[in-house]
Amino acid sequence: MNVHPLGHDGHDHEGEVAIARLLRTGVRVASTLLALALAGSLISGTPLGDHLLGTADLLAGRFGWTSLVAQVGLLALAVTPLARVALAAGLFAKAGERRQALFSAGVLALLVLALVLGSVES
Amino acid sequence: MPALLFLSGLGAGGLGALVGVGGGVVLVPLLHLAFGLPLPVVAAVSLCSVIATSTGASSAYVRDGRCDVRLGMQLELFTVAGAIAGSLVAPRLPAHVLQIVFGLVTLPVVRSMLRKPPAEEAEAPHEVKRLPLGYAASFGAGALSGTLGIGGGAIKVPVMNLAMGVPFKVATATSNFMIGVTAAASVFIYAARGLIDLQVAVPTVLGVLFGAAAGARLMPRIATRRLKQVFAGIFLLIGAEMIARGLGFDWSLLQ
Repeated sequence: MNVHPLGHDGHDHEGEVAIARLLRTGVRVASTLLALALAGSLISGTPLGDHLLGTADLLAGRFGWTSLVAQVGLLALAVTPLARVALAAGLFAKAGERRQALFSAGVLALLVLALVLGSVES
Repeated sequence: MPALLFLSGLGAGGLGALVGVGGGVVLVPLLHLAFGLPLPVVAAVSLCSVIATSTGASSAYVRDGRCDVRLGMQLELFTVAGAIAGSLVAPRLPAHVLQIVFGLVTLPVVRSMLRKPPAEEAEAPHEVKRLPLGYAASFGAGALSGTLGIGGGAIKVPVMNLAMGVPFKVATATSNFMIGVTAAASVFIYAARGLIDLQVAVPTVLGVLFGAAAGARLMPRIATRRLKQVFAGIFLLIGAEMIARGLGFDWSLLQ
């Protein structure tokens, strides 16, 4: 199998740039939110909590804003690779690379399965 | 506590970047042995850190065309499957089994640290060989990642480079590209099990992010060969300590 890493032959460099931009943005958003949450927690003296907030916590309002921001930050971090896979699947499909699009769709399906399995397990 | 965790993350991220290993392999024994945190909680925090560092680094690799995106997308189907299996099994494994497995995993990590990077190779195009072997190794690396909270690059990079014909730098960048997705699959499962401790995760992940960025900037300015040799020795001791704990061996007998 001859493999030409994306961008080396130039024709799909735009796709590469889009993936790189998505990854960079995701990590920047996540780190900003985490920094904000940690600073807020230290200044206000409110602990962030030892677990992620559940639906019951959110509905009952049993959370501080720092915990919520921290949780959104971690969510942004975890969802960034998922968004990258979805973007790559779309780019491969658009370029008519069916085999690669199928591999990407398979990875996406497994990530969704991980979410479902996690929910079932809990 | 948050300050200590931030500093631990800073050290793990910086050291990982300087000696060429993922932050997870430094962070896991540090949080487990020094802070006494249970391995599944440590693995969950480490996986969050691994996503952060891998995502940040791979954005540059992808932009610069150093990463084989097509190969990475194929192999990550198997790393993700392995990660799901590993993270489902990990909390059911007794702590001593996890300690022994982690201790054994330090061996390929030490080997990768001491390995001399090959001379400059042509990066593209390259012919990928033995894909089924790559699929199997990726599944194994994913399973270890999901079980122990590490990236698994110490397994994927040599397999891609030595057995599959992928140039070393491309193999390193491609492994890094895959790690974020692999870790995300495990994080979803650990999160649903309530194993993500915000108090521990937030300062540690931030520390690792800052440390990895600082380490990457420092790396070209300092001689890392001696540093790698010193830390290879330390990693061997950490591996031995984890195996000894797993076997219930009392070090005090030697004192």
